[in-house]
Amino acid sequence: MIRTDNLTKRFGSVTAVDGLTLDVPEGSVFALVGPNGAGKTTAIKTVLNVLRPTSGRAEVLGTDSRRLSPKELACIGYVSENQMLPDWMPVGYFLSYCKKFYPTWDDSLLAALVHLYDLPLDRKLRSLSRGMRMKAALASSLAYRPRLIVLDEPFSGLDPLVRDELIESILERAAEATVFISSHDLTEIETFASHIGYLDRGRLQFSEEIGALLDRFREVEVTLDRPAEMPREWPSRWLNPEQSSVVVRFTDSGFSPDSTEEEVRRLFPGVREITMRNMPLRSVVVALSKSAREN
Amino acid sequence: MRLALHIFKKDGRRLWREIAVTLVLLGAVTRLDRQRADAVPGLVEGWLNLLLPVAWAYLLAMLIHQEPLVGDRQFWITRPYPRPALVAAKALFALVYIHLPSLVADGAIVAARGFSPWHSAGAVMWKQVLLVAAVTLPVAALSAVTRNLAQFAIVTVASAGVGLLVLSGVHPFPRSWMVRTDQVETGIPWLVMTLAGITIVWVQYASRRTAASRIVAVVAVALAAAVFLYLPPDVAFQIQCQLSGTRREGQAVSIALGKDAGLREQGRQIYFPGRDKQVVAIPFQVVALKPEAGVQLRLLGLEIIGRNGERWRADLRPKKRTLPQASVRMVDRESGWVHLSLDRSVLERFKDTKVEVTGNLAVIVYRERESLRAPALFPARAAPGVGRCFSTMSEEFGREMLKVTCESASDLPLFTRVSMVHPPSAREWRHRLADSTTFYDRPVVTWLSPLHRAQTVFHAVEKPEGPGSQWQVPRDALTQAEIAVVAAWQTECMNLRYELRDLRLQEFVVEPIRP
Repeated sequence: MIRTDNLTKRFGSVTAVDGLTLDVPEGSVFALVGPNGAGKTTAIKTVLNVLRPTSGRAEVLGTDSRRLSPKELACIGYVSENQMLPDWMPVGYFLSYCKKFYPTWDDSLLAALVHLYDLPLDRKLRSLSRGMRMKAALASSLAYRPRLIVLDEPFSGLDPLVRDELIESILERAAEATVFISSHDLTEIETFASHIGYLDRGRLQFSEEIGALLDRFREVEVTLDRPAEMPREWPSRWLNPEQSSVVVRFTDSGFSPDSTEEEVRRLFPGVREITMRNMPLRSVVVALSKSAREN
Repeated sequence: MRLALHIFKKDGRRLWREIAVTLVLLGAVTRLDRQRADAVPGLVEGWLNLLLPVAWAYLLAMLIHQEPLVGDRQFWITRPYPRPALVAAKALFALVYIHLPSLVADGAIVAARGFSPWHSAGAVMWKQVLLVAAVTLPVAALSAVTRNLAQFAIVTVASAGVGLLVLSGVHPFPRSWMVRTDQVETGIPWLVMTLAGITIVWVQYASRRTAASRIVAVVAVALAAAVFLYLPPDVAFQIQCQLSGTRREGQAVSIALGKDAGLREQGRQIYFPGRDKQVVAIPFQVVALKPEAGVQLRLLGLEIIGRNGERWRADLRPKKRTLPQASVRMVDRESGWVHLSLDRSVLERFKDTKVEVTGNLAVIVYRERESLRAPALFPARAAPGVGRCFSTMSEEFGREMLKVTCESASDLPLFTRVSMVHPPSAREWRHRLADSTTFYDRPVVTWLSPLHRAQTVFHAVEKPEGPGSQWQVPRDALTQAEIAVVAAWQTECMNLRYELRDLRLQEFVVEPIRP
């Protein structure tokens, strides 16, 4: 659905996206996460040809992003937190205005979305709350059953109730569409994303299926018989080591039930206890982020 | 086309108030223009001629900014807007709400003033082309490279400031009244700006390359300003001559030193240089002019060469509030003066030597034919080859005057002569259309009018006396006087080399009347 190859975008001397190579599989809910300023929005805008790449290329729906035509855009639903909507339009007019651009527009779906979001059709967009504006934008982007839904920080600043409503409606669409969503709210992403890519300072740190990612990350706590120095030989996949007296903690980014324990025992003499805990997505990303910054 | 209409309707719905304002302003300016019996507009019409373009510019900027082309946050760029439909919608809007009403208004004005709209169609349509070049396209291009209305306004005001700065170094009047090159001097910059405007609009709507478009805009403005300020007058004249289709390679006439007894008195009356200047007026004669022809001249270059090879070259560039260092003026059909305004030190240098005055002249030969003869006060009537003319009596600044005004949908012939003839005394007062200007402290340019208007005035006095009395008409002569409008058309133009030899400049010094 989306494929980028060494995609780079610079603004003067600032490199916002640095050699991004990414593959968003069809049918996935792909979350592009990372801290503020990581380059998520720039990456999305470059993919959608809103910004012109400095180098590299992107492909969307099998088409070079620089050649995206109305035909492809009619299959893409894009909603962004800071999108400028035509504020003077009443919601009803805004939706009927958008309708003419989409051959696949589904009035019954729109009616269902309007009902679900409780959209006030006669009120102007400028008079709506942030959450309502986002709902109106989303309704106008889902009513034509897009094959690709691109959401740039859609839940940022929304109250939990609105957020849940939006997530619910997106998930309903996810069955027949690919969703590419950027966010820095890892807790909510974990609830519905199937794939994740982590962007930091413009560079993609990793990109994989969330299940596989969570499977290979463990928080490991080693309790020793007596205080000992950290081993000189330290596996690169063990991140963010910490030691306090007889307890050593680290994050194993390549966990395997057998080999991790075997390697711990080999490197640490006198191991009294080894605890390996599953990590929530948030902890995985924090560990990766911390490790990347320290390196 | 379906989507173009869809976007067009949306823009109409959004901008109906702005549209209404422009239509009201257009209606007002049309009404005043239809009723005007003077070449100079009234206070309200003068201001409306400035306000209406500003209102159009605002409307167009708003229109383009409905789908801003600069920025990456606007909702429409990720929607399936076919660019041709978007451009077509904007063009349709400008056509329906600006150009069509303007065209209808022009037709109404032309018809109300006694011209056939059908026969004036070409000129009226040409005005729409000029409106596109002067308003629609520049505003569209500027809007296409600005983010919002505030940015558009800032750039517009800044550009206007730079434009005024450029113009402030230039004489406020056409650089030469009778031998015009201003059509080339302003036409080429407009052409440059128009091509740049088309390029910018095309690039922005095709690919939104704002940085490149802004560079095109800046380069075009710089190039246009450079052409306007520095295009050599002889080059401008050559182009103008070529475009007129009357260019002549050889010399139809030549220039020789004239011998005019009344030189000093007339020189006093027509030249008012600064206090540190000396005036030299050299009479000349146009030789070999055919009997039925007239001639107009403009200096393209003048150099004084002393016997010892010493040279002085006149600076002919018009500057604000100062006259050029040299000029020519015809006083009758075949004779005139070369006027020099020299620093005293220059005159000192050539004081004891004979000199040669040489250079180039732009020469236009024309022919005349009487087009209309009527009593001094006459209502509007056709003047073949000119348009329609009428006269009115008025009093301005405490002076009574007879105004003869001519108007036409096409350009008024430049050399049109208006004479007042008094058969009992066989006196004749000769004027040309647009030869007299009154300064007003309000806008008087009616560039929105589909009609070209020009007039001349005959001052009526009890008894002509004092300086300039040759132009004053005794009030009692008006009852029996007639007005003759004489149409003229250019037959030849050429760049003429002249040489006036063995002159002693001291002999031609005149003492002007100083204000």
